[in-house]
Parts: sequence; structure tokens; C-alpha cells
Amino acid sequence: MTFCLLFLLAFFGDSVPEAHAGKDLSVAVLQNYPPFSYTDEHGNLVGFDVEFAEALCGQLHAQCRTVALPLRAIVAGLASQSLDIAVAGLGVTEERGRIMLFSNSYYRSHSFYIGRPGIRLDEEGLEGKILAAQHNSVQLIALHRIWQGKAVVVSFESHQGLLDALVRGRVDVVLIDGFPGMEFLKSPEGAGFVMLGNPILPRENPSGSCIAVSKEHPELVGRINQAILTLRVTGEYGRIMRKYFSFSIY
Amino acid sequence: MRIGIRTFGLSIMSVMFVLFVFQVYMLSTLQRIESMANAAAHQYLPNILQRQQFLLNIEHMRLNASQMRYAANTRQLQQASASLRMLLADAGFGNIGFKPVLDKVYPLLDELMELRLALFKLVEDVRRQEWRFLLTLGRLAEHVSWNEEQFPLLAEPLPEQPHYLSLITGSYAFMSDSVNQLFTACRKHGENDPETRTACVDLERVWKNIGDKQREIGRYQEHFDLLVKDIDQVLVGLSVEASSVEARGIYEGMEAIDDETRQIRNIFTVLGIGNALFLLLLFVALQQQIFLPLRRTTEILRDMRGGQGMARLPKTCIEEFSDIIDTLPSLNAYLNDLHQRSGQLEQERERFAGLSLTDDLTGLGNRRALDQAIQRDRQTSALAVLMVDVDNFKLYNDTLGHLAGDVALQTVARMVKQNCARASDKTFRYGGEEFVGLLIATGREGAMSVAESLRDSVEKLHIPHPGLETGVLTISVGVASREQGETTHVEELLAHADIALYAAKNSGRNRVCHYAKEQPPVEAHPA
Repeated sequence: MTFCLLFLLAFFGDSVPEAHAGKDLSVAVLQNYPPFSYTDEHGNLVGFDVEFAEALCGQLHAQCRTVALPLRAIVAGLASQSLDIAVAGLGVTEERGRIMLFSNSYYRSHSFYIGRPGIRLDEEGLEGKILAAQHNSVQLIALHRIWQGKAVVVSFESHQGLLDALVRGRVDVVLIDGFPGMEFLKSPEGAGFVMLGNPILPRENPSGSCIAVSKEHPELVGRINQAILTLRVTGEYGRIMRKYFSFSIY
Repeated sequence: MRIGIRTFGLSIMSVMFVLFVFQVYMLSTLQRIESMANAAAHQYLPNILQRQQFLLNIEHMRLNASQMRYAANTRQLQQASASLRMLLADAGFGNIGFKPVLDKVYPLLDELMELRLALFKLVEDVRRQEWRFLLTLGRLAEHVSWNEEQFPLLAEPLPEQPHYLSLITGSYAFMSDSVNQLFTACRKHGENDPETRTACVDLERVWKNIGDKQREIGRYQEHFDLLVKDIDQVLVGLSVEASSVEARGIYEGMEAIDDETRQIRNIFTVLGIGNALFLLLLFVALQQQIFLPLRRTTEILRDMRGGQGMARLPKTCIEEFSDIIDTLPSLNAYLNDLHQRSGQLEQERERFAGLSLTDDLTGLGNRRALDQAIQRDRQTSALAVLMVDVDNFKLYNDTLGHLAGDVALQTVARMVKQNCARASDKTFRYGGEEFVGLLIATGREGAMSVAESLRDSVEKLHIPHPGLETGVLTISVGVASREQGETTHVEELLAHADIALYAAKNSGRNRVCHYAKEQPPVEAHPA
């Protein structure tokens, strides 16, 4: 019977938490990506990603240094391990999977097309039109996949650059992430633009937006997943979310 | 029934194995419970959280639908529509199960959008007609110089808020009486004034037109409201469904856990009873088949050692042990045999002891040795017999004890041996405190001299004898002898020596007397 007890113990004796407290982490958010991260009228870095990163660091018991960077710099920083984590709504792609690790999704991701009213999203309707997405983004990969050879596809370094080009008429249609897209449609600059067709879920990113982790810290992934769940259960996630969205983004 | 110790061990092992199988089964049940708990934590909990968000978004979609219903302009309408589409798509991506239901909303939404845009157009149209009506009415009023008393329509209170259905049409039905009154008055004026008549006809036509459009708008509005209601119903249905799916999952999970727990409790009970029974049986089996027989066997072995008879043999089912017990009777028989043999040996030993010729106490020849010596006598040579008796030895013994008596006898015997020192001399303990010396080829003179020397040496030892007047241990000696050529038999000589000893005792002890046939014994030593 003693043998059975030992057998049982062996099964349940493996739940020892590991300590990772008090470590400094450098955290990246996207530059000028409202409402996830942007600079408010007082010059402070705010937004859902910024506050969520803060809450996450609290859960990880880590001191965090948050920096706002363009997408390209974030990907490069994670690849070179000069950044520890990125709270930048990154979707898991094959290419990124090779150079960084990903947590579970922390908000849903889908994309939609924005353009002037009346543009039809087919080969005929897009003839002579220029489609655009942010460089390095899931949306750009999707555009290439869907419209390769049927329409002109270009990319822009930053989110803001992409939207500027749309407003100035340098491009006709953009494919962007849903939540910043809604933010744009509601903004004064977005007047005169509409959502074209229905939102899509790019097959390049079925996993939603995740927190990217440098390959230097594989142990962080599980702890971040646990922290996301904890933040959601405790309502902290909802509290932050409601500051920036009237609906749920999870 | 008899079983081998291996079988016994195996049966214990097999019962333990069955218990072990139960344990393993229980372990797997525990693991199922654990996986259910895991499912609750990692599947139901996130799903519940997601459903909460989903419900929030459904409410937001209903709000968007309502915003579309009351949008003041195309931009508001488009924003509400975009938000609704985005959340719809979102809901569909996140909840594949609800996608078919959600997909029903898209055509409704398209229809709604189309209708709403048409409605905007109609309203614009109506508004234009209204302006025309008001302008015509204004001109007419100016032309015929009507005032508010004559035409109460102009005194109607204006609606408080600018409504998209314009200033007057909101109260179209309410105003129809005053408008009809206006038209009647107008026609009356128009009888004389063709300009007024034209204006009146125009006014009536525009009013009718507005009425038609209003009714059309009403129909559109009705349709629109129905659509919004449809969308709302779909969303409410989803909301109810979504909130119950996880509750159902959890409920089913709890029921399953409940069942499993009951099962585990039953197994625990069975296992506990099984364990108790097993231990009891094991105890009884060990007690009955091993310990008790072992104790009985020990007792039997002890009895056997004590030479007592065999008690009833213990019984056991353990073959090997039983074999050991079965050898006990033959072992007993063997022991008895051995015992018997050792008794015979003892008798033999005693028999052999009886053949001894030496007196144990003194080391002199014993009575048997004397008899042999007597038989061996050829009656050809001279022979003297000394018969020695310790004086008052009984008293010595009684006063000083048997041990001292034995020591005294040994001392006297040593003296006898020393004085009869020739190789041919033989000394015997005749019995009690009497000794006999046979001196071969010794005549009367020699024998008397040896006897006297013997008596003297004993006296000189000064062994204290509290019972005698002299205070020391002494002996009396009777002597008989045959000379060369005589044929007196040794036994005769012994009898003569005895008589001489008697004479010595009678004449005062501590003396030597020689046998004389018809004379009183001669005193060799004066008292």
C-alpha cells in the first residue's frame, strides 16, 4: 500500500512555482497606434497596450521599462534579444515564430478594408487602385496572398504613415487591424471613409494578438499566460479595456 | 486441503495484486477528476470570460442597431454600421458555433442600410415639399393679408426640437383640420382672384404630395423597425444562448465530477472493507496455519525431550510445515528407542561395576577379591590371616560423623597396606571397619610381629577418639596361621582369626591375639 502512496505522490508532487521576481524587463509597445498606444495631450504614453503591459509586469513582479517603437524595430529588437517582451498586438506568423516566442492571445485580431464609399472589393472594382498595409504586418501578407497580380499592393513603415497616405489619396484602400481601424473611422480624418465589405480574419493570424517574448526567456511564456488569465479573472483587464473601448476586444 | 508455502505466498500476493488493481483504477478515476478540474480552469473559465465579453459585445451591437435607427446623418449611420459589422465579424470569429446565426444578420444589415439611405432621401424630398408648401403659404398669406385670427394655422406652436421630419409634418394629422379650413378659405378667395386660385391648387397638391410621402416614410419606417427588431431578436437569442452554454458545460462537468466522486467513495469503501477482510483472513490464516501449530510443535518437542508421551499432533494446511509435523511421531519413536537403549547400557554398566575386585573407599581388595584369593589357595604353603577391627568404630562414627569415619577407615587401610608390604601379601576390606590381611609363606611368629607392628603404628598416629579411655584411635587384631605342611583351609583360618579377634576385643582392645585351639587366647601385649 506504501508503494501505491508513493505512486500517488509522484503524480502530484510536481507543482513547485519558480521564482522570477524583481527582474528588470524592457517592454516594447507600438509607436503611435491609437487606441493601443499613443501620446496624449500631456505628452504621456498611454493606451490599452501601455496599461496592459503595466498590469502584466505587476503580475510578473518585474520592473518594466516601456518604450514605443515602430513595428520593424520591435521585431528586430526581439530577434536580437535587446527587448524582453513586446505588448504590441503581434500576430503569430511563421516567420516571427522562428525568431521569437508567443504567449496566448490577449485580444482578438481581425482586419478590415477602409476606403472611400462605393469601392467594390473585386478585381474589377480595384482596377487601377492601390492597396496598402503596414510593413511587416499580418495584413500585408494577407494583401499579397489575396491580391497578388490583381491589384497594386504597397506597404508603409508606420501605422500613422499608412493612414496619412489614405487620407491624402496616395493609396485607395488599406487593410488594417480592426480596432485601430474603428478608431480611424471615428476620427475627424476618417470622415468620408467607410469600412469596405465585412471584416476578415487573415489566415496568417488565426491566433489573435499575442505578447511576443524574446527567445532568451522561454520561462516567461507560461507565466505571462497565467498572468493574462489572472488579469481577466480579476477584472483588471476589463477595467483597462473599458477605458479605451466601449465593447470587448478579447 | 494442503497447499505449498509457495501457493500460500502466491495467494497472498494475488489478493494484494487485486487490491493494487483497485488502487490503480482509483488513481485513474482521480486523474479523470483532475482533468475535469483542469477543464473547468482552462476551458470553462476562459470560455465564461469570453462569453462575458461576447455578451457585452452583443449589447453593443444592439446599441449600434439602435444608433442606425436614429442616425441623424449618413456618417453617423455608417459609423454605427461599421462598428456593428466589426463586432459581428468578431463574434463570428471567436464563436464558430454562433457563426450561422450571426451570418443571418448580415443580409438584414445590408437591407437596413439600403432602407435607411432610401429613407434619408425620402425625408429630404419631404423637406423640400414642405419648404415649398411653407413658401407658397407665406406668399399667399401676404397676398390676401391674412392674419392669425383668420387663419389659426399660423398660430400653431412650433415643435420644440428640430426633427428630421421637419417642422410641420410631425404634426401632420393633428393639423389636418386647420389645413382643410385653410383650403376652404383659399378656394373662397380664389373665386375672384385667379392668382390666389393657382396658389391654392398648388398648395393643395403639395400638401397631398407630402401626405403621400409621409405615408411612404411611415411604411419604410415600419419595415425598418421590423428589421431592427429582427436583428435585435437574433442578438438577444444569441445572448441568451451564449450565457447558458458555459453554465450548461459547468453543470454537466459538476454532475460528472459528482458521479466520479460517488464512484471513488464506493471504491474506497470496497477497498477499505477488502483491506480489513484481507488482513483479518491473513491474521487468522497465520494464526491457525502457522503460529498455533508452531507452538504446539514446540510443546510436543519439549514433552519428547522430557520423555513424556506424544500429545495430539497439530494440523496445518501448509505442506512443508505439515511435513515437519508428520515426522514428529517417528522422531518420538526413535527417541524412545534411544532412551531404552541407554537404560540397557546403564544396567550393563552396573553389571560391570559388580565385577570389580577393589573396595571403592579404601582401595584394598573387596570381599569378592578375598573370595577369589580363598579359592586360589592351594593349601600347600604356610599362611597367616590377620583380622583387623577398629576399636569402637561405631562410637567414632556417631560422634565425629560418617565423613570422619570414612577418613579414619582410609587411614587404617593405608596402615594395613604399609605393614603387609610384601608383594605376596594381600589386604582386603572384609566389611564395615574390618580388614583382612593374607600373608603368604608366613608363620605364627612373623604374623604376630606384623600384627603387633600394625597395631602399634595405628596407635602412634594419635587419631583422636573421644569415645575411648585412651583418647586415640586403636585397632584390635586377631591372628590365625598354618605352618608349612599343615592343610588348614583358609576359611577355617578366617574363622580362627575371627575368634582370636573376639578374644582381643574381650581382653580389652588395642591388642593382638593369636588363635589357640583349647586355650584361651594368648595375650601378645599386656593391657
